[in-house]
Amino acid sequence: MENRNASIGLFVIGGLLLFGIGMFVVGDRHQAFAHHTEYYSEFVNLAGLAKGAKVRVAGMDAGQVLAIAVPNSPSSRFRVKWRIDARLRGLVRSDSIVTIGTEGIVGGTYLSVRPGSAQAVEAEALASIPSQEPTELADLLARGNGLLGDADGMLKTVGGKLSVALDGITTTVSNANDVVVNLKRGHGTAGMLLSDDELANHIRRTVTTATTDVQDIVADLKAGRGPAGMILRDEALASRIRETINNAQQATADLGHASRQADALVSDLNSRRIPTKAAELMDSLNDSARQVRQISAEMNKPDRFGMSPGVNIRESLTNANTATANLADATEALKHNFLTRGFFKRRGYYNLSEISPDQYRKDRAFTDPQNHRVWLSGPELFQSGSNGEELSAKGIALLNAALTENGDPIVESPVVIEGYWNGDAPADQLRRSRSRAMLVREYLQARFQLDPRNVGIVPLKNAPPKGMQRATWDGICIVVVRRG
Amino acid sequence: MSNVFEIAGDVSVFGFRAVTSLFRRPFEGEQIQRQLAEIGSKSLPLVIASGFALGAVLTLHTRSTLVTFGATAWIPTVQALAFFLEIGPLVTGLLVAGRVGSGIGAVLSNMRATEQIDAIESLSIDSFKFLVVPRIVACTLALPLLTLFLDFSGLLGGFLSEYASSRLSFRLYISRSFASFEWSNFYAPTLKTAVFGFIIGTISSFLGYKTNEGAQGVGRAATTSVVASSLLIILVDVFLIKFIFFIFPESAL
Repeated sequence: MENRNASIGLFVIGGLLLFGIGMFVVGDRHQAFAHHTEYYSEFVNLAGLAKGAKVRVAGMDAGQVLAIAVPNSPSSRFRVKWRIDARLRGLVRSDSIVTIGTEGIVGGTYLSVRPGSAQAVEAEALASIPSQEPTELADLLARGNGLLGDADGMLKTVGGKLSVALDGITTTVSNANDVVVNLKRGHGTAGMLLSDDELANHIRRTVTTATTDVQDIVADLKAGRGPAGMILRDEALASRIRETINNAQQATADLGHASRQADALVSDLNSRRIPTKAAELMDSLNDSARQVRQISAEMNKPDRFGMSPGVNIRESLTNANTATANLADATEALKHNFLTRGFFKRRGYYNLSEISPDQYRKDRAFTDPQNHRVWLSGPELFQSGSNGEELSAKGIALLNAALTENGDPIVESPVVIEGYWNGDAPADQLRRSRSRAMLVREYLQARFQLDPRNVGIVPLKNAPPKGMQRATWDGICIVVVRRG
Repeated sequence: MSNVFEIAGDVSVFGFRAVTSLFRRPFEGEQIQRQLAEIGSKSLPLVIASGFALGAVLTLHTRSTLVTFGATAWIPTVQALAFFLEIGPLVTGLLVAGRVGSGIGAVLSNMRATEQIDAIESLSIDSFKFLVVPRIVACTLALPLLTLFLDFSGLLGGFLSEYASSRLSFRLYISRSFASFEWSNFYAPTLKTAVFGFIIGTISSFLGYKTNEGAQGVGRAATTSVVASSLLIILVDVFLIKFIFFIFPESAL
C-alpha cells in the first residue's frame, strides 16, 4: 500500500514537475514572467508576419507580436501591436526603425527593431514606432537571379581572356625556365657573369680601381683643384656667377618691360588703324601695279608696222650707238680743225678713263704746279677691314679737313684723286692704288655731293708725276685742277 | 454496418455514463489510486525508455537530414517540436493502449466470465462505478503525465545523441529547443492526451465489461481493446489537431 502510494506520488509529482518545467521554459521564451513595454507599428505589407512572432531589438530576442489589426481600406495599413522586455526599452527611441525580417530561407518572419540614436528621446509606451516596408524574398530572388545571369556572362568573358592570359603566362614561364637553365649552365653573357670566376675577379679589380679614382677626384674637389674644384671652392667665381644671374634677371625684367612696350605699341597701332591704312595702301599699290601692267601691255603691243617694242628698242639703241660714234668722230674732227682746236685746248677735253698713268704724269694740265694738291699718307687714311682696306676715322677727318680747306671752288673745279700704293708687286700696286682712289672718291661724292662728271681717279702705283718733290708715295693725292 | 453504429452508440453511452458517474458518490478514491498506480507508475519505465530511445533515434535521423542544408542549429528545435506536438502524445497513447488497454479488457472480461462482477453487484456495489470509472479516470489523468515523461525523456535522449555528435551544451540545447515554442505548442498537445486516456479507458473497459464469452472472450476483448483504442486514438488525433489549430491558430506551424 505504501509502495503503491509512493509510486503514485512519484508519478504525479514527477509529471507535475515536468509540466512546471515546460511551463517555465516556454514562459521564459515568451518572457511571461518579465515586465513588458508595448508599442505599435504600421505596415502596408506584413510579409507573413503573424501574431506571436518574435520581436528582436538590435538582433536580440526581446518580445513578440501581440496583435495585428487589419486595415479597413487600401489607404490604411496593418497596425501591429508588439511588446518587448522592459529592460530593452532604452534602445527604442523616437527615431528607431521597425522592419519585418526573415530568418533565412526556411525560417519564419520576425519584427526587427533598429535602435535609435542617442540624441533622440526614448519612445513612450504604446507609441507608434516608424516602420520600413519589408523586402519580399521573391524580389530578392529575382534580383539574385539577374545578378547570377550577369555574373555568368562576365565569367564567360573573363574566362576567355583568362585562357589567353594563362597561355601567355605558360609561355613566359617556359621561357624563364629556359633562361634559368642557360644561366645555370653558364651560357650567354649573364651566364658567364654568374659562373666565370676570372671575370668576377677582373670586375672586382676594376671596381676597386674605380673606387680609388673616385676617392682621388673627391679629394681634389675638396682641395679646390681643377675647374670643378674651382667651381665648388672659388668664392670669387661664385660671386661672379651670382652677379651673372642678377644680370640675367635684370635682362629678363628689361625684356618684360620691352614686351610691355611692344604690346603698348601694337595697341597704339591698332588704335590708329595702321593695319587698316596699310591694307588701303596695299590696295592702292595693287591698283598701281594693275595700271603698270596695263601700260606694259600697251607698250608690248606691236606698232602699226607689226614690229614688237623690243625690236624697236633694239633698233633705236643701234641707231643711237651709230649716231654716238659719228658724233665722236665729228668731235674728234673738231678737235683737230684749225678753227676750233684752240677752244678745245683752252677748255680741255681729257677723259681720264682713256689716259694711261704714264700719259697722266706727262700731261701739263695735271702736272701744272698751279693745281692745288693735298697729299695724304695711306697709314693715316686707311685701316684693314673685313673686305680689305677701308677708311679709318682719322682718314675721314683728314679728308673732311682737306676738302673744307679748298672752299667753294672744289664744288665747281675738276678733281682728280691719285691713288698710290708702295708695295713690291707691280700688279698689286696698280690694283691697290686704284682701290684706294675709288674709296676716297666714293666718300667725297657721298659726303660733299660732288658732280660725278667732275671727280676722276687715276692709279699711279707708287710713282707721282715729276716735279712733285716725291719719288714715291703711299696714300692718295687730291688734285684740284685749275681751269685755264 | 448497423452493428458498427450500435457499438458506437453503446460506447458513447458507456462513456457518458462513466462521466456522469464520476461526480456521484461514492468517488472510489481508493480504486482510482490503485488504477493510477497500475496505469501510470508502472508504465513509467516503458514510457521513459521508449521516449529516450525515440529521442536519440529521431535526432540521428534529423541531424543527417539537416546537416545537408547546413541547419544543424535547428536540430533541438525540430526535436522538441516533434516530441511535444505529436510524437510524445501519440506514442504515449499507443504504448498505454498496448500495455494498459489490453490489461483492462482482459481483467474486466475475465471478471465478467468468472462472475466476479456479478458478485460485486450482489454486494450492492455499483460495479460500473467501482471497476470502470476508476480505470477511465486513471487513464485520463495518467496519460498527460506519462506524455510529459516521454517528451522530456525524448528530449534528453536527443540531447545525448546531439552531444555525442557536436558537444552541444545542455543549456544551449534547451534554449534552442523551446526557441520557437508557443504556449499552445506545450499544453494543448499535452492535455489532448487526456482524451487519449479517456478513449483507452472507455474502449478497454467497455470491451472487457460487456464481454461475457469465457476464456476466448477474454483474449478477444484484450486484443480488440488494443486495436480499437489505438485506431481510435490515431483517428481522434486528426480531429484534435484541427481543433487545436482552430482554438490556437498560432500553434499551426
